[in-house]
Amino acid sequence: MSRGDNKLQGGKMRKEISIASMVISLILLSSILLCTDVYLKVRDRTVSVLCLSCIKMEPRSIVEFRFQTINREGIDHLILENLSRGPVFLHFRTDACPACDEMDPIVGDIFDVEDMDKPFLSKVKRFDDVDVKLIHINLDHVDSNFMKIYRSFDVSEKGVVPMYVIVTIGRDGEEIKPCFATLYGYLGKSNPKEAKKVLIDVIKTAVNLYKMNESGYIT
Amino acid sequence: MRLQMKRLVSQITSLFLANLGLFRIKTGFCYPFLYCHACPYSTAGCPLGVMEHAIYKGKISLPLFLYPILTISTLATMIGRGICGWLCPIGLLQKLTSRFPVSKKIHPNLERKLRYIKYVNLVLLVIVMPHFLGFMFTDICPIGFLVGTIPIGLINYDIFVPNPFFFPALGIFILFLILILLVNRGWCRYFCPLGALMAPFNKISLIHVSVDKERCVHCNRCVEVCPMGIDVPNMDRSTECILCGRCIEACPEGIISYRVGR
Repeated sequence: MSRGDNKLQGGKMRKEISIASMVISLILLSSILLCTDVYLKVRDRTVSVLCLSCIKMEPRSIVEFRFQTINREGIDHLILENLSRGPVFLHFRTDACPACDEMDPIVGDIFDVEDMDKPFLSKVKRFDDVDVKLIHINLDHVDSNFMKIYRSFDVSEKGVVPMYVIVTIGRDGEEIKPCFATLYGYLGKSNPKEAKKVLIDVIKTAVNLYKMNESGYIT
Repeated sequence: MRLQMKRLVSQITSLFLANLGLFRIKTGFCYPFLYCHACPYSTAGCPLGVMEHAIYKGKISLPLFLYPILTISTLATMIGRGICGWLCPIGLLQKLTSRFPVSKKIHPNLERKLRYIKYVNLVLLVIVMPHFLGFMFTDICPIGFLVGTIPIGLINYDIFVPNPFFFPALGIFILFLILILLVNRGWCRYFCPLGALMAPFNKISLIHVSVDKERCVHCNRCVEVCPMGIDVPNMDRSTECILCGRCIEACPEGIISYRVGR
């Protein structure tokens, strides 16, 4: 067999290999898309919820209590139920989020929770004679209802984690209503330890508001 | 239409499609090129970001890990690193920066060694370190900084403020800018982990650049215009070739062409 023939045969084989690889890749890709939830995971988590360490920025943390949720549909009944017993502290994270990893122990420390690895947990801690309920939510492992709750409190409307929401009650004109403040990331501080002080201050403010308005609040 | 004009149209179209988020179109697909899902108008996920998410700190999700790899392999078995040359928006950016007169040629020996960095980046920063330590490439990715951090900061200058990850990433981004100004396609040649993932597919891709070596007069015009610094007359399905076609246009003998299959 001449050199030219060898080259021709090698070329034909390469063509067959490339077509076979393409078909195999396509079949495997289609199977993964059809048989698993990767498409939804990428769309609803990776693309829609941004980790603050990925974008290297965070929304400015301003402690501002609002009466209106972002979607204007009102605060979810799960939160309202807990609010009748005291302020509610919501802590949102996702699996892959270095800033969340750093802030988890800080939140755990404030509420005396040792294992923050659970996708969902709640814990009550007393601050100044008022029960504050921590609800820790890993968005990668909970149902879509929690995603709705997350969206309703995300005042930046950018879909970023870690996000903290403190829900309490406040006076809106003549009416006593649920209100909330949303904070993000390291709360504008350079490290988690400094951020802890801000979180504690926010919780104390929420507790004070709760104590001031508790008597006029109709659940 | 000239080949380079067709390529420019393809790159601009690809950039437009990558930013369909502008029209609120968010999908669960992975880009087949390097583009960040942190971009305010992104429409899909960064393949490297998705891979890092899939193996973050030992929590392995095999389907999620394979998803971007299969997306790329499906396309790369067809056109190899033609993805870098024809679709990647960062390729388009480097096409622009290569027009600056500061472009430097690197000594061939050093060039060969530097090319291995991208493979190290892929294995170490995208696979090994995220698996054991957490995000690595994502945290320092200059492309994420360019298409994610900067636009988010500009659009929401009154909302977003830098966090502790910002300044190290800014430093790397400045180095990236210097690199692409000094070396033509410096990012693709030496550092892009996605280029490293696609490179082996050049050996088997259906479409590739072929040189008729017997008719070559070794005028080296192809070498002079190659943005990837390839020794074109002696290449045999080079893993560095991005199928840009500049050698095809430059060859006075017309012996360089795209080939399907063989």
